[in-house]
Amino acid sequence: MTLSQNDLQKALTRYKDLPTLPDVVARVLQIVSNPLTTAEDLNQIISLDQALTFKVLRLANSAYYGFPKEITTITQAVTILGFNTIRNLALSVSVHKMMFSERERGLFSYRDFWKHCVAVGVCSRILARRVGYKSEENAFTAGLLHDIGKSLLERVDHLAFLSAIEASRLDGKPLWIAEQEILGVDHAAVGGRLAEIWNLPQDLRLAIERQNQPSAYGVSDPLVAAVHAANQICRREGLGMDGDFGGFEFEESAGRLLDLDARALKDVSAELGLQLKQAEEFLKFSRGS
Amino acid sequence: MDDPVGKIGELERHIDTLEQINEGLRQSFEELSQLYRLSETITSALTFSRVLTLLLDVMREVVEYDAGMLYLYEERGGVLRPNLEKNVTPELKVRFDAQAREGTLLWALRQGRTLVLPDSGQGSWTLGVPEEDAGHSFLLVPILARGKPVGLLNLAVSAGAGTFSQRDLSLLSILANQAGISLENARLYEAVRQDYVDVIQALAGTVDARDHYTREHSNRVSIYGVAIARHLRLDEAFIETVQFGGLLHDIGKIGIPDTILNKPARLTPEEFQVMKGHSALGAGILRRVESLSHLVPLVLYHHERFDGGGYPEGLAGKKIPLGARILNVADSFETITSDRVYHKARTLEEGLVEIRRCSGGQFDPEIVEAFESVFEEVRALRQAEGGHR
Repeated sequence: MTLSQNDLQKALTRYKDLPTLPDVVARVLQIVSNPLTTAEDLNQIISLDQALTFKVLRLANSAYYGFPKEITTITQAVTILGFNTIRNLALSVSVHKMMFSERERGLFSYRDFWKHCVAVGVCSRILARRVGYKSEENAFTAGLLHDIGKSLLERVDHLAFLSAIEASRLDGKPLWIAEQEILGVDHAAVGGRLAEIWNLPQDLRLAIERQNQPSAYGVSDPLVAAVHAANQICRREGLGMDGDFGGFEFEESAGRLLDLDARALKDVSAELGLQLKQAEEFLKFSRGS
Repeated sequence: MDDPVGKIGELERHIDTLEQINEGLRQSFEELSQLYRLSETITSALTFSRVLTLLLDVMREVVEYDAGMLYLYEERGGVLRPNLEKNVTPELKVRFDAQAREGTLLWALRQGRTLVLPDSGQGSWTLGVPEEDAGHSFLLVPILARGKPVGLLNLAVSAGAGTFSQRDLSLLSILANQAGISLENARLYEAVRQDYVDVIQALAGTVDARDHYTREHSNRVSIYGVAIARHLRLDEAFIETVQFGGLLHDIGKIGIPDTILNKPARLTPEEFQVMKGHSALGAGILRRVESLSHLVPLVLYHHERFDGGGYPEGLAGKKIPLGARILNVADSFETITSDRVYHKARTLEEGLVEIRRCSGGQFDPEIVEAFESVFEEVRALRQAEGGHR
């Protein structure tokens, strides 16, 4: 079931003080949407934030991107890895800082949760690449951020969120259904709303909002399908933990859109194992600087 | 109370915004027109090498590059091999080669989008680079066809790496991918073309396989015919007609009984009548194949004589199609200078004397003249064959 616009508005009134993106990142999102932006423009904005600059460069040099030489400036990072990649890295670093804590919160471990998010990001990119989706980078970021709604639910209503997880565990039902029953709203809807407020690119917002039931929206969007399938694949493989105790199946239509048969799934799993090792730098997000 | 000053200010801001949008649209339109024009140029090229050359030229209209290097991707081995270069100085060559060695080029190809390597002269990038070369950035433009790697363009530019906008870079990618599709089409076209040539050669081979003395005969007639046609400055399409006509001129001999074709003695008059049927037989075979039917006049009339004494129709002078007159000289010269059942091969010089002697009789004097002019070339070709005489 999808929530009506009305139900959603009503439920969201409880979440008054939605977190806002740092200025730097908001500016980055804005100027990358302008085709006339140059790498130097982007450099001037990101360089204002030293901590962000440092983290973005560390990720840019990670094995995940595998560029054969060292990247030493933001300008280089942009011209080499692309505008979208750097925008997405800046966004991910900031969102992580805002929305993910290191603490164990009862049944909910943020560390395992982040592990799940990184795995879904990596897996989404693999699935997107397989079908030649136009932006693998956006697939990675959509996967990385697909569950930001859960962070918000946990922060705003910790106990109710834990009850939803408990309900999911006891009845074996999908967490989003338990959330709707207990909180009146689910993480996908809340995440979509956050994406909207933050002015995230539309494809990212849709992937967050439609992750649980792509077919309910009736459109064949490879990015939504990739995040949806990647989520289930990573849960089945036990990569991290997202508080969901429902089944592991993904929708048939998503499987068709992504050309996923049993054999392809095997390939994806193998590839996922390899790439997760290269993506380790993303797990260290919160540790150290 | 209304606030007219505030309203006017708001209105002015709206007008500004509209003007900005308008300017943006105008620019987009200009770019689209340019893109369209450049794509047209690229897609008009039919051959593989022509597309590559045009791509380098067309890129120059989009970005001012100092030097460019074009690599083609070889699926076997997964390597990029240099194919074309433009204005590449030895200093830049060092940089290009270093980038290839480091794996940067292959990395860029995998990304499938245009990226810029920074100027030398920045920290770790300068290692081993001559000082005078500092100040170049490198645009790496992957060439893809339907997502598959075809090649890569490496352009050295004086502008700083950080000064290219997203639009600049995507414009390069769009053009490169246009070229990628054209390259794939050219490759397909050339493959089909090669098939066509192979089939013609296989057909020609069927005759040579039966008639042991004419091994290589058809091939040589074709080569001599082409040399004559070139000397006469005939157009490429006609030269090709002569080339294929030469290869297939004796195709009708597959319809001649073995006892006659390979008879180890002179033919009787009756047998010779049968043998003469081979040009009409050959024409009959080719007429049935649409893509070979333009060769019919050459094959049918290659035994007509300039003085009208030939067969099958006894045509004379310029009534004999030009291609057939050319093949007649090439065919006769080849026969004279090769071993046959009824004669030993004569030397090339003796062959030339014989051709001259029959000028105006069996042969068109103009063709004979042309043949004399290319005789040295013919001799060289014959010597290049090695074991053959």
